[in-house]
Amino acid sequence: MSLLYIENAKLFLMQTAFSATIANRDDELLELLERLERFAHDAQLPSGMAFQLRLVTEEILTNQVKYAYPPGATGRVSVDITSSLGSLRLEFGDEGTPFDPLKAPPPNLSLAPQQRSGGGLGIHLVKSLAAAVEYRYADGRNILSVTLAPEEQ
Amino acid sequence: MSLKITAQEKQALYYTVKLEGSLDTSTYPQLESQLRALIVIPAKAIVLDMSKLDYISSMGLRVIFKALKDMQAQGGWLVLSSMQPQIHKVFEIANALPDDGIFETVEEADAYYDAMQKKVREAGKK
Repeated sequence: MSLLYIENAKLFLMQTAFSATIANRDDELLELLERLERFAHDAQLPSGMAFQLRLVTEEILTNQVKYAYPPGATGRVSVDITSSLGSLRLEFGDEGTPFDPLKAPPPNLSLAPQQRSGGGLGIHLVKSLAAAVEYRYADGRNILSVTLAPEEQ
Repeated sequence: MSLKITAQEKQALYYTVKLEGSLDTSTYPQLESQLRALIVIPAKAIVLDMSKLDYISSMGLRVIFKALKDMQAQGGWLVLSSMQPQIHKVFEIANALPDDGIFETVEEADAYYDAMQKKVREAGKK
């Protein structure tokens, strides 16, 4: 009985905080990033959390808008954010070719910055900042889940 | 999500570029063209004053990396100064904190540049 109560309480605390679906276009991306910034402000997220949220969403959504669909093809990109006990869970979705960004080649961090080329820097930042990142492909969708935990004081 | 850039020539061919706001996917082209303009002069030294820079993403890092490369290629000097903690952290994660190209304040960068110039002049006299 008490266990059931705890489960219900958890469900209750898991709130949908933000949800949006856009077309894979730069103007819609910028508008979405601005809306997310307003959300972070209105939700009074601690500054460290707001910074992480902004960086993670910009990096992942930019990659999705650029690469999820073949050049010239239109498609949708989504982000859903739920909050729970001070943590945020972000879920990014698209209907593009199955692609696990966590398996993409990492940037060569041992090279001096001015000698580096190629991508992977964005997803490296995401992996480093997030408490957890998971990829799955389900129902024709790429889904990347990112958990952001409050920074330890 | 905006970026204000103020470039100032402090000495001959020595520039301070002050960044205020966000260096992100929407603003990076502004910094790219400002730095390009200074690099082609060609500037001898550029100090990026990041004291009022609140946010940076990988697009911002790339612009700075490219400018580092271009300045190095022409024997110039590009350094970073006055990073806020969250910006410092992003550079750290990217393993992109140059050993000898980072200063706590713009004044420290100025002093270092002056000392370097003095050395060059003295070496020239001998």
